Amino acid sequence: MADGWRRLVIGRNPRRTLVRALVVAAAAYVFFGYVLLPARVEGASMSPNYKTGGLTLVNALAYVRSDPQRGDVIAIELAGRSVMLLKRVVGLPGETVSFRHGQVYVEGSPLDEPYVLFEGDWNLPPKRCGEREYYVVGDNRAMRSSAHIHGRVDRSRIVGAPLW
Amino acid sequence: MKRTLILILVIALCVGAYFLWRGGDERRIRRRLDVLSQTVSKPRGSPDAAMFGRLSSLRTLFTQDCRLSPGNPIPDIQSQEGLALAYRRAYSVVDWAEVDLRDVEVDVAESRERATVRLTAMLEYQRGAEPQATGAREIEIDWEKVDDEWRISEIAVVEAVR
Repeated sequence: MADGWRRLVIGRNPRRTLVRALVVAAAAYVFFGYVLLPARVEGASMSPNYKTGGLTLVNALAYVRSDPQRGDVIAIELAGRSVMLLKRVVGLPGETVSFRHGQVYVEGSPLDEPYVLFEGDWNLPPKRCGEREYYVVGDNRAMRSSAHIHGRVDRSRIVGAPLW
Repeated sequence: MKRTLILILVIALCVGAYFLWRGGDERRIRRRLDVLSQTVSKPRGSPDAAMFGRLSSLRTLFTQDCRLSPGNPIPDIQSQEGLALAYRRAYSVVDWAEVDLRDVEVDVAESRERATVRLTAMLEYQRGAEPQATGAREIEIDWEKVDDEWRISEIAVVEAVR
């Protein structure tokens, strides 16, 4: 390797460069493993707001000091965090959520959902959220409700919120 | 430099020790899971006759009285015969399917005769002219050692959202 390149890659002090590289690698591992989780969107349940193939970063600190609010898009963990579900919160703990002719009702009142651009005709019986449960659903209601994961999720499964 | 080399050596030893510590049973189960995901996948352009080979491979993975609970609205599947029937049906319906098992966590019982695995199964498939579909489910798999071979006795979908 030419001296110039060696100097550029290894630096003047190889030991210091190695330590710096290890620190940067460890910081990146912690940051992208526990703080901002890179995610690729798969599936159509959040269309058209999140399209298949799109990339996002999930902020795992989003709900450290606060709780998810209605209308928030959240990431839900399954067996781990390499695959997460992206869903919209429509019902908060203790609330009852139902669907009639595609309209969401929370505690019997219709919910305004400007983010729903693909409407459907779902009819689903009321479900009451527990003390630590949120009712979540995707934005794409044009899908069959049986092919669309929706319902109550425990707070412990909520990883965070996508940055965009 | 000497100190750095020693540090690298210690890290390498720790990594090696970790893999040894993970134990033979866990490794064997993980290998069986690789076979499972390959067997239940259907490569693009795969001839229907290939199903029979996969079916016999599938049988070696499950106990005779295995039980599968795919979750509502699909009814439970009981026994190897029921599993074979469901597999044949699913195989003929899809053009291709890819199953990827992620976030695998293996818990082997102290007796070394039973184990539980929790994982996320990613499924991608194409059916006729329908758009390509993708799905992910959390799954719990119970294993039993039969004739010194790990076999699946039960698969149940964990409803993360219900």
